[in-house]
Amino acid sequence: MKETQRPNRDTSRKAGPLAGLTIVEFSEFIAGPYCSKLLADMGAKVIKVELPGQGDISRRRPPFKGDASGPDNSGLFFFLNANKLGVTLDPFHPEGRKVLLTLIAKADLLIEDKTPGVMEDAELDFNRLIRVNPRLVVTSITPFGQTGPYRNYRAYPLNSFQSGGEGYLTPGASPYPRRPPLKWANYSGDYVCGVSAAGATLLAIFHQKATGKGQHVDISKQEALLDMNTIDLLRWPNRGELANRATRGYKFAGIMPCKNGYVDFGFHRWPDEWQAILKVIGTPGWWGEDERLKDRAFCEEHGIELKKRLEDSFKVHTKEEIYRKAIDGHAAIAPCLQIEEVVNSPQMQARGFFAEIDHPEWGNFQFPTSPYRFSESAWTLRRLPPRLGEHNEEIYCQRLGLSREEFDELRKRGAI
Amino acid sequence: MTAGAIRNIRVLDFSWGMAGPLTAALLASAGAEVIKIESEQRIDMSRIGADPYTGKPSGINKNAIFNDLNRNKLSANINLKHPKGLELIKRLIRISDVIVENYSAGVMERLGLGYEVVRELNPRIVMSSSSTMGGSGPEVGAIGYAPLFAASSGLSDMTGYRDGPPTEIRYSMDIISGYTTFVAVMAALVSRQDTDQGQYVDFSSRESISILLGDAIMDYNLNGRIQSRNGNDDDVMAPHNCYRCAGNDSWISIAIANDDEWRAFCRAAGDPDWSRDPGFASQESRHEHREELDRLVESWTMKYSHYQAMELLQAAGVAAVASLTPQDLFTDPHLQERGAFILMKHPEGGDRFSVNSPPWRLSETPCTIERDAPLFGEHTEHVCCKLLGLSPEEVRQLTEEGTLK
Repeated sequence: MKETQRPNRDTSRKAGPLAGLTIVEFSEFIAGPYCSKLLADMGAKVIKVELPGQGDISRRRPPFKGDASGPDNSGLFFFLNANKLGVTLDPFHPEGRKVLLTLIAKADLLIEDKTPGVMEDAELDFNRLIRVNPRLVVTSITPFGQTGPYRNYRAYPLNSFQSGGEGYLTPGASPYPRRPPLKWANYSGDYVCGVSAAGATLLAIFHQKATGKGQHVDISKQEALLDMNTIDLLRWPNRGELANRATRGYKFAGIMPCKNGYVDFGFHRWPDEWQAILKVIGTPGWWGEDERLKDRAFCEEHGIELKKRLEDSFKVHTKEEIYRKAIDGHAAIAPCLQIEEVVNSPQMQARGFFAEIDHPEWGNFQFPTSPYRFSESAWTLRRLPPRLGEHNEEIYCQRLGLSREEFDELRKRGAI
Repeated sequence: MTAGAIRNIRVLDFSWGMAGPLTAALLASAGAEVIKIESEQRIDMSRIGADPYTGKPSGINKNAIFNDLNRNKLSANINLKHPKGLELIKRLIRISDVIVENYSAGVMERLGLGYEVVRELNPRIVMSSSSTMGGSGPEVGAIGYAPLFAASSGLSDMTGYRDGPPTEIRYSMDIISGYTTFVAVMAALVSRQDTDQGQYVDFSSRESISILLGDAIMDYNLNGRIQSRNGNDDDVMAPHNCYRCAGNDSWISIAIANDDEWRAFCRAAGDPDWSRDPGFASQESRHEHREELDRLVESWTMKYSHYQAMELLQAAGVAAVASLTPQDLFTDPHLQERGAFILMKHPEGGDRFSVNSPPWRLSETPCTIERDAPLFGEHTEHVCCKLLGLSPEEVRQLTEEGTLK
């Protein structure tokens, strides 16, 4: 029986490997917030800074609970910003800038995603900040990095995905090579950029703890994605072969329709793993015992015909049946799961990948937690995502020591 | 001496394939001393797999995939199934900081190197076990090649044209898994700076892909909606697609989120008559009529090369980026200036172009490529003599009896 989670603020070692780290996040949408979400989920204290008024773009993005839009009703915003505190301020307002500077002066890490030059215009660029706080780490996550001719180019997740090479090759093994390149599902490419940025950031945090020195971490989303795609990419300079969406498939393996959906199959160890596949789907008489089927060259040569035969064999089985037999028979076949099947996956449920959340307005729901389990701490919901400016008073008055009058004055002037 | 952030960290790398070796390579690029434990008993599949550029096995020291994933490492041949080999490994564990392994679940325990044993030997060690399913659960025995966990994670089903099949996605999955494991290992190392205690990380590659679908999972769990393949569609943005440009299989991605961006696009496109159609007057109506809009936008993009269209639209402040081919990327002026590619010179594998990985620019502690991947067992003697204090004579004897093969 899974324990239902309500926000629980534990500050012991159980609070995660990064407990004690203070982060100011001045970023929005996917990559920056996901980077700081990963760190927040591991125990860091994240103060998310949003512009007064509208806040993070993802507040205005579906999925909304009950499809009712509203700044605190987005499942996307929830996924990316649970476990964070939230304040509002305008860094281009002189008083707002001063508040942000004070916040950053007391932090270990700033995560920002502004176009290069924007932080400079607000006099909040790395070179200025490091003088205020010599141990500060600044992680900048932008579409093309801090240098180079494209550094000021704009890109949404779709564009970034196409900038990194994987886009041109998606979908691989395309039956429609004349159709346009695609992105991976939803924002998955941009989440990957957040993962990459979190890795680099933790190197800088390690160095900070060891030496007391800060530094600037420059993350280009293009290069983060490029690094996911090196084998196909490097065929060009190393071999003069230009991969495209049609050439990227196997002759007789890959995605295969079955009775109630699709599976994916393949093999590395020949002929063992190939034979294991034939065993799972059952071997129709005409080629089941054929010795030539152990000969890879023969199979490659007759790939198209073979694929047709395989299709006929796969389509009489359900993906559940095939998967069960594949696990028992050590065959490299897996079902293409739909989202509901992912959520209900016996494996992922048994692993505790989903936490049961008790939300004051949304009721109970399952929340995807994390792909890693630390022996010393479990994923915990410490707080719901912040409402816009929810922690202004807590952070500005209690943490930064503003008086009630100063706080009201700043609010009146539109600085926070 | 490298300038890397973790140059006082020693890593034992028991991993093979792609995901595990990448995690250890990232640690090595940041200055860690990474010792890859190898053996003739179980040779890393990417040493002996098909070479990506020839399609044929290339010899144990020449495979480009292996060499790209094992840069900066040392290689020591130690046979774990040999009792004396196991003893040597235990001595190494006492003087190391991190263990990275990605055997099938249970293999390290059977070898006598499960976390319980490791922690006894060295409570400060961070040990990471990564496998497709993680260390537990009913599907733990399933084979876990990258395209298979792309499928079981949900990503394949959700990627593709609305009327087409799911998409097979390959080794990129291993790379993402390797990067994500690195995040967990680094967090555990940071924690050790405070607590002086190591810990164990149980990692699932499949989950590292499913989590990238967090928003779709939220939609199912909040609203019961089952999202599936939808091409390049976005919930809000339109235009939001890849559009054909002049030339063969040449495309530009354009994404427009609001009225300002739409007006900027129209100006850059020379204010064509169709752009004043009232059906395109608001973000909502553009989204509603996006199929028609896509055709009209494409009638403009087809007049330009993908690079020309990118320059024109970016100059106007529109998020438009060419769909860059491998050839484009390799010759792209921006990536050239950023130094994204390097030429590696391997003593046996010869020259090859490679990606300057990891792509992070850390101003104080840059990641570097100090040397190419080790030859099989190249540093066995170094590790045994310098780190474990064996004499060359002992090394020769242990080699003869099969412990160091």
